[in-house]
Amino acid sequence: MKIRINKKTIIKLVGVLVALFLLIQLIPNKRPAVTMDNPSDLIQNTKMPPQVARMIQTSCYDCHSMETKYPWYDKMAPATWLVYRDIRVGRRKLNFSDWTKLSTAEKLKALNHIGEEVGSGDMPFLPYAIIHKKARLNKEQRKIIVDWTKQYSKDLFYAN
Amino acid sequence: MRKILTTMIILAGGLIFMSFAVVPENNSMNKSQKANLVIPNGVHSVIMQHCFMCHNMKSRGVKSKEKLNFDLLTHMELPTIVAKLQNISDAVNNDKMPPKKFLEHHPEKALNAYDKSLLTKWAVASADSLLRNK
Repeated sequence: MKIRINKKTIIKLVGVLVALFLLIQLIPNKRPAVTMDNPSDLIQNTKMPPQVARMIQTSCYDCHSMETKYPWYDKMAPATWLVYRDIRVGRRKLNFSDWTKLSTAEKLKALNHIGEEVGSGDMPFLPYAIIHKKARLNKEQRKIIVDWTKQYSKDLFYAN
Repeated sequence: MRKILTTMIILAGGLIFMSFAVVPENNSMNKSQKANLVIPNGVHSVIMQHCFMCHNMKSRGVKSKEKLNFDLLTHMELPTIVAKLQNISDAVNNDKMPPKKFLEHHPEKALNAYDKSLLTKWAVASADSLLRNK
């Protein structure tokens, strides 16, 4: 069976795609909440080098805190599904807005994980870093973050 | 006789020089003293049966031994050991370890409730003890 591609077929195909695009916008998908006042936040409660604070805020906070800055495309499905899922998963794994609620052992685990993920280049998540140029970290910046996680871990461990 | 004496003086001088040149690892705050991590027989047996296959020095899985290597655990810095112990407890409690895909091929490696409890209680207690007795 041969499919003849002519002008009419293309118009029909575009029409179906547009209808499908409009239809998927109706699928409910609750946007993860944003709160800017977070008394348990990492940066607010920790003495850390301003450079590290800036890098973490720019490269991690969109998915790993309650202070998400939503991109312009977040209201359009299917982008919205991916963005909201990444934020939900990111916050579940590590939420910097809840930092002081963690036990010392949990903080040490989180810092060790940050060091491993940032050091290996697995974080920031590649698709996110492709779209968000400012969130990208170079080798030197990664080393600064990894060194900070090690130093902060020691400070926490030997405190008191 | 003179030759032997000269050789002995040179050797002694070399040894004295080396004792100053090499700084023992545990003299530095950057390295931990060897962790006092006790692994009771029951826990050891669970680790050997269910975890060690992937989390050891000779394991073929790079990622698994990077995340946790039982051969190196006690040689790590103390804050890292606490982090790894917390990780063991969370991963086992949340049924992330052993991984489901791995269990499809090795169902005998699944942890039963008793083993899970033994492993997580040990990990939490050991992390707690390291934090208290630093």
